[in-house]
Amino acid sequence: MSNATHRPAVPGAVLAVLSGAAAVALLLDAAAQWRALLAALAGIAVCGLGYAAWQRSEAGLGALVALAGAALLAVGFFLAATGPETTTHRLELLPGLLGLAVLAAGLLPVRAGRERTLVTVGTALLFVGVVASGVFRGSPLLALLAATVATVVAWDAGEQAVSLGRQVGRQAATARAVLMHSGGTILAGAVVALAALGVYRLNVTGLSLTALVALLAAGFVLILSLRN
Amino acid sequence: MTDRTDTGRWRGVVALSLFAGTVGLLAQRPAVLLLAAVGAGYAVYPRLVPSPPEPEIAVERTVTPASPDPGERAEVSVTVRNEGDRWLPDLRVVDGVPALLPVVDGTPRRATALAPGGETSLEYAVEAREGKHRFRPATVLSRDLAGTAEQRATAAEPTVVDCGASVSATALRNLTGERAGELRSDVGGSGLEFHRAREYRQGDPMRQVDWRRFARSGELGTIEYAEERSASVALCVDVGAGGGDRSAAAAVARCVGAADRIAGALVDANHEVGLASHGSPWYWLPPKPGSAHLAQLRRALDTHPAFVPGSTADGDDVPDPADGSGVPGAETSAGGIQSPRAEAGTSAPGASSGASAALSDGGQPIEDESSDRERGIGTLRERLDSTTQVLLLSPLADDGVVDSVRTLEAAGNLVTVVSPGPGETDSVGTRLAAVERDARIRTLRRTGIPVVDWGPDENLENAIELTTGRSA
Repeated sequence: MSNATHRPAVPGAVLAVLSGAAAVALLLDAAAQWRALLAALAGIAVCGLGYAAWQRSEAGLGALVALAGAALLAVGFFLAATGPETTTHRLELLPGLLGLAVLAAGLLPVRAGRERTLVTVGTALLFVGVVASGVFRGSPLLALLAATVATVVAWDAGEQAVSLGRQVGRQAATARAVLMHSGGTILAGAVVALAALGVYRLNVTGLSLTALVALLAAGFVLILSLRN
Repeated sequence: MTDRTDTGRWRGVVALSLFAGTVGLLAQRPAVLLLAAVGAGYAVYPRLVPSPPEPEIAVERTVTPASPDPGERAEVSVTVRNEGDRWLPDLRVVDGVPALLPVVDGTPRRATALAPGGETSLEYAVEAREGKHRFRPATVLSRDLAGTAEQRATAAEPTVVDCGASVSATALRNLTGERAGELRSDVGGSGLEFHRAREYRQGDPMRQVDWRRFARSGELGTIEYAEERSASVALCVDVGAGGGDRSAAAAVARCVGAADRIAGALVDANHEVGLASHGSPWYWLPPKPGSAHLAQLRRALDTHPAFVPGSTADGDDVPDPADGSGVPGAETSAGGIQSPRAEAGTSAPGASSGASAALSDGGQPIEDESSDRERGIGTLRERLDSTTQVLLLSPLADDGVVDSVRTLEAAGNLVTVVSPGPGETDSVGTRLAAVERDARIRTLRRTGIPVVDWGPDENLENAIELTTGRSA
C-alpha cells in the first residue's frame, strides 16, 4: 500500500561499495592502478545517480546519466587492462574491479530478485583479487588482512542493505542500524586481524607449511564443531 | 507474540577460509594461508555477540487531526521506545497502517538502533478516506549485532481514525420519526418541550400550573409539554458481504463510521441505541440509553474484530503478513458481548474458528456464509424487542441482505437501510455490481422500506434528509 520500493537501502549499499573499494585500494601501489580504480568508482557513482533519477520518474535523464556512468566504468576497465606495466598488477586489479562492479550492480539493483547472488559473487571476486595480490605480489600481511576484513564488511553491509530493503524499503531511514551493525562487524574484523598478526609475529611462518596447515585445519574443525 | 528465527547469514564465511587456505597452501604463501584466520574469526563472531532479548517496545501513535475529513491529510507520528535494559542494535519497525488509508508522504517504516530507554519517531502522512479505520499493531523486527538471530514481535497501540462529518440528531429524528411516530409525539404531556397552554383542569399536576398567568390574571392555567418517548434503535452493520476485497472493506469502513456517528446523534437525542453485526463474526449489544453505553458501543466499533475493515486486505505491505489474529481482540471482553454460537455450543463445525476468517480472507463457501448470516438474523430477531427499530447499514452487495430486511420487517421490527454507494465503477464487474445494488434498493423501496442511498462523496446527513424528504 505504501509506495515503498523494496530495493536495497541506500546507506548500506554505499557503505558496501566503499568498503569494497577499500578492499581493492589497500593493495594498490601503482599510479595506473589508482587511475583505473578511481575511474571505475566514478562510473559506479554516476550510475547510482542515474538510477536515482530514474526512480524519480525522470527516465530519460536517468538513462542518459547511467549510460555515462557505464562509459566511465568501461574506461576504468580499459585502464586496468592496459595501464599497469606488469601482468601481476593487472591480475590483482581486474578481479577486484570486476567484483566492485558486480557488487554495485547487485545493490542498485540491476536485476531485482538477484541482489543477494550478485552481492555474494561480487564480494567473492573482490576476495579473489585480494588472494591474487597475496600470491602474485606477496603483499604485506597487514594490508592483506585489512583488505580481507574490508571484503567481509562489504559483503555484510551489502547483505544487510538487501534485507533492510526487503523489510523496510528504500525510503525508510536506516543509517543508524547500518552504522551499528557494520561497526560491530568492523570491530570483530579488527580483533581477528590483530590476533592473526600476533600469531604471525610469533613467527609461526617459520614453521613448516604442513605444521601451519595442520594447525589451521585443527582450528577449523574446532569451529565447525562449535557451530553445530 | 515473539518468534525467533536464525538468519544463518554468516554460514558462508567459512568458504572464504577454505579458499584462502587452499590457495595459500598450493602457492606456498603463509601470508595468504593466514587469511583463513579471518574467515574463521567471522565464523565464531556471531557466537560471541549477545543474542537479542525479546524486544520490549512501547509504541505511541498520534494522528492529527484525529477525525479528518475525507480526502484530508492526516499526519501520523509514531514513537517507538526501547523499554528493555539492553541495546537493540538493529531494530526494524513497520507501522500497521490501516489497509484503506494510502500513505501520501514519508514512510511508516524505520530501521534504527536503540539504546536502553532510547526512542525514535516515525512521521508520515496518510490520506483520509470516509469511514472508521483501525491501525494494526506495529510489527517490530529485532536483530542481534551480528544479524544471526531475528526476533519478530508486534507492539499494539490502539488508534482509530474516524473520518467523516458528524450527523445531527434532527436528520435522524426525521428518519426514524417518519415511520415510528414514537419520537417527539404530538401528544401533550410531561415532556420538556413546550407544547401548548390550556385551561386548568381538575387533577393537573402542580408543577405544570402556569403560575405567572395566575399572578397576572388570577386564572389557573396549565402548560403542556410535548411528550417525548425515546425510541429504541438497533444499529445493524453488515460486515460479512462481498468477500474480502478492497471495495468491500471500504464499504464496511464507511458503514462502521456511519454507525458511530448515528449512534452519537441518537444518544444525544436520548434514544436507546444497540449494536449488532450482520454477518460473521457476530456481535450484539442490547439497546440502552446514556453516554456510558455510547462509549461502550464506540469501543466495540473500534476494537471488535467484527468491525475491522480489510484486516488482511493488504498483507504484503508488512514483511510477513500480520495475520488477522494479531488484532487486539482481547480488549473486546467488555460486558454486553454475547456470542450466540458460544451459547448454542458451536452448532456448526468451524463456526467459531471461522469467525474472523470469514471477514478477512473471504474464502468461506458462499452457502456457509449466507446460512451464517441467516442464523445471525434469526438470533437478532429473538433478541429484539418488538418496538425496537432496526437501522441496517449495508452496502447491499448481495441478495441475502434483502432477505434479512424482509425477515426483520415480517417480525414487526421497522427497518431503515443506510447504504453506502460503490466508490469507483470503472470496471465491468463493479458496474454490474452497482446495477444490482440499484435493483435491490428499488426492491426494498417498493416494499415500503426507506433506503438511504449514500453516495461516495456525499454527506451522510444530506443523504438522510434527502431520503426522508422524498418519502414524506
